Amino acid sequence: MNDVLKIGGKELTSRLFIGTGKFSANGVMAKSIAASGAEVITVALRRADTAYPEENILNYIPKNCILMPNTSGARNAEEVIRIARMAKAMGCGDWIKIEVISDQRYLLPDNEETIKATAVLAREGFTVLPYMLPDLMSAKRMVHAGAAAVMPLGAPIGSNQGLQTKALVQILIDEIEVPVIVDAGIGKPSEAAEAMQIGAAAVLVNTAVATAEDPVMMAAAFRLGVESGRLAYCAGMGRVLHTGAKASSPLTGFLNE
Amino acid sequence: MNITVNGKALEIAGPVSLAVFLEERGFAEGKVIIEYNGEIVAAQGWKNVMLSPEDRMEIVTFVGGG
Repeated sequence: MNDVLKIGGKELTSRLFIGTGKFSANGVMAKSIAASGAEVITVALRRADTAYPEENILNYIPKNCILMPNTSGARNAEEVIRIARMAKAMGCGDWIKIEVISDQRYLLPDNEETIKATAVLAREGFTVLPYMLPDLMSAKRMVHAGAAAVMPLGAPIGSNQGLQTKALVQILIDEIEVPVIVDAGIGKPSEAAEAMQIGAAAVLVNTAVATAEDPVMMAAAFRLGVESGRLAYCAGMGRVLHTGAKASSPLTGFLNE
Repeated sequence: MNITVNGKALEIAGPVSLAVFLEERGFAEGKVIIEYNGEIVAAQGWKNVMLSPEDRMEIVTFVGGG
């Protein structure tokens, strides 16, 4: 099956995006990325430690992967734009994950500021993937502003609660013409499969892999979960009977007839 | 002279170029991004910037994130 995901002029064969936060060591992260098969990798931008420069994380991310810096730390559109421009100056491409958060308890995104930032960055030539609360009108405005995909949350960031927003994400999948990528909250491969089964274009996973007892094995498990869910979606689900049953075996030729 | 780096006051011996300042601290091209007095300075321009008193500099880098 030729099943390619096109975003920002790139053709992706993997529908699992991996975040690089919370890994115990860069080496574990690198092996997890390899096991996941991911082609899109997120990073964050922070002030460098001027006393003790850390290792360059880019040395642990395969060069053929698409780097998708996030704008975490931004509380409004203005801060997003500043971070995005800095990230682009690193020369690692023009993908950006917009993340605007001013709610520190639930880390829920600010859709309104996200729409504003999407418009500015898309005009500047960025490939913009906004992290968002799954709201249809907001998603439409993000697409109108130039978003290459929309990334609704499944549950609060880092919570591993799964696809709590399923019904709302389903509406986006049905109504939005750009890829819908479930970002945040996915805690288990079965939940990644669930998102893919309802037609998500991809899922972005970080905490579930990074905080697993064996992150590398969990990355492989997520790879299978995403592939499984995608295949099931493409195959078309069998129908559901809401009452009664329908025998799978023939109802003729019984021995006692 | 005093400059501000990543929000903290720093006393440095001058005159010194941005390129030398960064090199002395182990910050190579391709690892950090410099915002100098509010403007992003690409790596090829580092050697052309001489640090001046009261300058403000942000040295940022990619770290793990989701």
